Amino acid sequence: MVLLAVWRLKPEAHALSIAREIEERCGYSLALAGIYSTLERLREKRLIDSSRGEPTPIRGGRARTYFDLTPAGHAEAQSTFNALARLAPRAVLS
Amino acid sequence: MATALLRCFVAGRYRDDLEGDLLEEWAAGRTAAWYWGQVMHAVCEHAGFVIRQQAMTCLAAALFFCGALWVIAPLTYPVMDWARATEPLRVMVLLGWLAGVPVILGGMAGVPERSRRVGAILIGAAFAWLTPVTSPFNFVVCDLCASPAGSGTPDALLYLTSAASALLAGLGAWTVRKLRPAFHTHFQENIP
Repeated sequence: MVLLAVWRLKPEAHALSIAREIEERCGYSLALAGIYSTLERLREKRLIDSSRGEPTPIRGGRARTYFDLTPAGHAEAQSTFNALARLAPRAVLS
Repeated sequence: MATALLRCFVAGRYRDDLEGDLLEEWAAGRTAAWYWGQVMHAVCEHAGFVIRQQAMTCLAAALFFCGALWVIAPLTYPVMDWARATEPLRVMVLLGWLAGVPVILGGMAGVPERSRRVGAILIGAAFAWLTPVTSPFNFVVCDLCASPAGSGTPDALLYLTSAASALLAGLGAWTVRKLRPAFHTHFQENIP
């Protein structure tokens, strides 16, 4: 789910926007720490890349980390999406 | 206080990002309950991560604390007798013993190069303090809390003591970890 959210939000995907997107579209309220640990695992698997933004006062001078899919991550997200589409009932697809 | 808790118990690549996100959401009007919930979730998530990543260190720390407490625990009764003899200082002596043992053991666990991971030491200490090995230390708590009528000590207080002891052990390990570079620098500068 997090991988698909990064795919949807890229190149502006960050943990807060991912949490909001999942809450808005799927109705799940995920803890930010859970999203960061998932992002860390995805990064270790080289499915996502990260880059640092500019520090902002509202964040206490901390920079935001933006996430983007790597080619492998893109292929994985596409494959997950296709698998979900194949599992969907015919009535939903029509 | 929640932010301090986050800084103490959560480490890793994204700790600053999480702190920034929490501040941003707080400024956007999130409640204190939401903030605390996120912090507690982060602490539990990090503890789970530490256990998964450093299982052997956690196990070694738990075994070290169990062994050390098993050796030290019999000394508790003479200390209690001595504390009772110095009645005006009884509370001070018993509190010092109750707090000093975990801090010193935590410091010892933090000395070896391979066991400098404070989080793993803290979790190992928490496991050890939940074992029956610590029952003599529970008598110290009972001695501190018992009224003249000799009423019992609530179990919740004993669990709180276990948690506090684990935190003190973490403090000992953290202190040693912080002091170690200073000692190294001092000796490198003063020994030809």
